[in-house]
Amino acid sequence: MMKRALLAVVALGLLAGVFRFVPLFHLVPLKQEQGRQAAAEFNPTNFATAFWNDKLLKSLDRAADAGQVLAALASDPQKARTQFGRTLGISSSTLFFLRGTGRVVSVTKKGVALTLKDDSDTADILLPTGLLFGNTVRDGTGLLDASAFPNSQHFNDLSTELNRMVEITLLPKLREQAKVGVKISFVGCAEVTEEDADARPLKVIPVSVKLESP
Amino acid sequence: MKINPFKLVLVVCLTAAAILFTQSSSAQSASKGKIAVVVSTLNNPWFVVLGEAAKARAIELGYDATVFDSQNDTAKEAANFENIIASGYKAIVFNPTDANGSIANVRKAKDAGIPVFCIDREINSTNAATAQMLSDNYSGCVKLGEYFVEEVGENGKYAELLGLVGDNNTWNRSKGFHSVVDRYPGLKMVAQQSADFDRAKGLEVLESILQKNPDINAVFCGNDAMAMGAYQALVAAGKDKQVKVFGFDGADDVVKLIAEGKITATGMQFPKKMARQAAEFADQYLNGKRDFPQKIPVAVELVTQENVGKYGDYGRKK
Repeated sequence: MMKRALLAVVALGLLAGVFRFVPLFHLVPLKQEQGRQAAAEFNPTNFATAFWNDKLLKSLDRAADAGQVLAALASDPQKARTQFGRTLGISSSTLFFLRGTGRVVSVTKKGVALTLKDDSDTADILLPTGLLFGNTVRDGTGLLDASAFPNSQHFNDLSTELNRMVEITLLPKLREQAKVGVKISFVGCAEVTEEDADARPLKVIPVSVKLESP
Repeated sequence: MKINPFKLVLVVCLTAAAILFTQSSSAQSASKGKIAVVVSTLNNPWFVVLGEAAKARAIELGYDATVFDSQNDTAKEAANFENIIASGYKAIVFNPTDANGSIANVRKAKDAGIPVFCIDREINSTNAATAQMLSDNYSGCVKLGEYFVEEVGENGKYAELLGLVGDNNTWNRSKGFHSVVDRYPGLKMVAQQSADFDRAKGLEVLESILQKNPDINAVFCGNDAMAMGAYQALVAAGKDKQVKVFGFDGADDVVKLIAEGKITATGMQFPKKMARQAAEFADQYLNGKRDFPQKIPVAVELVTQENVGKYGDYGRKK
């Protein structure tokens, strides 16, 4: 009787030892598993960071000259669209990727207004410094294609991430350092609708800014 | 006169053959083949317009066209596809029921050599449909979200009625709206429930929400059918002047209520434009074109009480 009990205890001990190293199942917190699955599917933060560093920052020289774009929009909006802009799918809006250097003429809650001319104080460009929404940054550069994303939710999540990156990396510097008279070199994206083709100042969401003292 | 029976039979046969030949060539010149238009549901006027516009354009282009109703049911949709494949249709203009659940149907058609052109709703695949023409729901709801903050203010309580949870449009609209509204901590969402894009369910769901939350300031609805249901619930509860209603689609009844100041705003999709373009793509494919972009976004425009005069008949007034 004693011998049987001893054998049973030894057998149980051996089994416990085996299962310690080769468990039949694992307990994983649900949130951790959901997070793993989501990460395996698509991670907008990682994608946006890689896009920003590997593509966007290396393509800044592709941006059109802001002065030329503004002049073209004022004289012939249709020509400006075809020459410098791009329209996504079926839309009455045109997106521009543009660059320039301007002098700050005013700083308001809406953003930093710049003139591109030496002899004028009329604002040509507005660099917004508040909350950013929409797809202007994602679509403005022409570097991302909706057709590459099977699920449009992922493509749209990218907009939120890119806007957040601009808000975190560029806008604080603009809010703190942009003063009237300061020169700013910028590269950014703008969206122009049919109705406001020649509206001034043109709102440009920056993807790069460099500030110089007056 | 003597009639040769052999000659008589010959004349009758030649006449019959001539009639048959004429009929067959006139049938061929009248129709270039059949195009199927498969719509997620015909229980919503917006989708009726979508389906009928595709059908009308296909007929204008010289095809026979038939509209199939999937009744928001992937099983019915699958049966429609089986029927279409077996019946010799040449192309399908398709408004899917489910972003994932509809992929298999599109693949079946593709394997049978039938091109599929998705409209309004997408499938989560980029190698099954020939092209997908999709409203830019996210951007449209970003615009609605910005207008929502202007109209409701930076503080308040609101409810959200979601569409079908398996449909990407539901989440693209919700995410676009929340990408704006969630940045204002004073705006509290007190309820978020699905009403399946359905007017009657929209009414029921908002009635139930109002019982628990009688003090909401606004309701954001993922489509206009639910916005109409929500508005009815508010009228019944005597709260239609207190609660602002926001929809999405640009349905005629909602555009009229915006003009009357009863609904605050909607996002105008362009169902006729999308449907006509998809039928034209089908025609181009059947004429040999193959290089279609996989996803073609169609811009959504904000319709408010300020600009409502520009809109009507499911688009911009001409």
